[in-house]
Amino acid sequence: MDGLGMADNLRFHHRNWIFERVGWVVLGSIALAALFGLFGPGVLGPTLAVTPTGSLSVEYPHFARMQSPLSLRIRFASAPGQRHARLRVDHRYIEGISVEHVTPEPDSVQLDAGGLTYRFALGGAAGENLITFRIEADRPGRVRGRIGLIDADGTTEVGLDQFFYP
Amino acid sequence: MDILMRGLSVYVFLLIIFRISGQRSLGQVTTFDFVLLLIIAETTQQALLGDDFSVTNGLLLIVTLIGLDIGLSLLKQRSPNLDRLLEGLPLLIVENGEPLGDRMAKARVDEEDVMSAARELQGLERMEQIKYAVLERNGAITIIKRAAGE
Repeated sequence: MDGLGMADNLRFHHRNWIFERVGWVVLGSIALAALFGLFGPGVLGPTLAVTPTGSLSVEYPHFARMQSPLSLRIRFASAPGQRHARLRVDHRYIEGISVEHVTPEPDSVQLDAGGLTYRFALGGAAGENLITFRIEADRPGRVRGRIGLIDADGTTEVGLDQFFYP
Repeated sequence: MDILMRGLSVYVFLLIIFRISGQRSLGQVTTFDFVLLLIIAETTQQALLGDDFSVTNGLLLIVTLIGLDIGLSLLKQRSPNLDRLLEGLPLLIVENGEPLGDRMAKARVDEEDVMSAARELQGLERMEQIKYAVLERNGAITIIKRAAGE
């Protein structure tokens, strides 16, 4: 160029523009994936519910982010006249996350080698009960565990499988 | 360990993001560019510190980021290819009074941006008075005016 001490570099710029446009597509897909719950509870993110025979179900997000509180919704049916319910959370899950709050507050929490047993008082009417655990993970990675309902016949369990993004 | 990883990943991510968004986004020309920069700064601060607000953590983070900056500048010095890849190259957008439309469209710069720079830097009034306008690596537009009689 006359007087301007600079090369035209058009080839570089063309490749650069292609790189930019590819990058925009990537950004768009990330945003879309986030919307659909890939990176944690999103706007439309379906929360994965685990239902065994139907007597116990746990609603939780499969993908979540660390240091970000989320809720586990545990639903189970109780028989008329039933005054107590015992919920068991295994130690693998307890180690992976920290329980911030339990609604309703348990009567007692018993510790043994396998995990924690929460004991809740029930009203006595038959129907579906909801217990909410507000939890948070302070480390990234995969956390697996089991939550079970203890009754006279034994324990009905469901498995949980979560991945926490850093 | 944690703070080093956070610092590294956020630094690299921002590097890539700003390459993808183009040269103009760093130019801070409009009020909105400035606001965007503020918001990004706030967001990254949260991501970098997490819930550790100790002085040690803050200082470690600063050490990490400065270290990365120094490291990167050394690498760029040794490899001109890397320098080009990371920083880009200037782009000629106006030649002898004629705006190069195709390039300006691709670089997402319009004539108003060029005229604004011309007024600010050289006190020019019209496009015809511009000999060369260059979109610099940092997003700014520089103007070389036509000498009298050219």
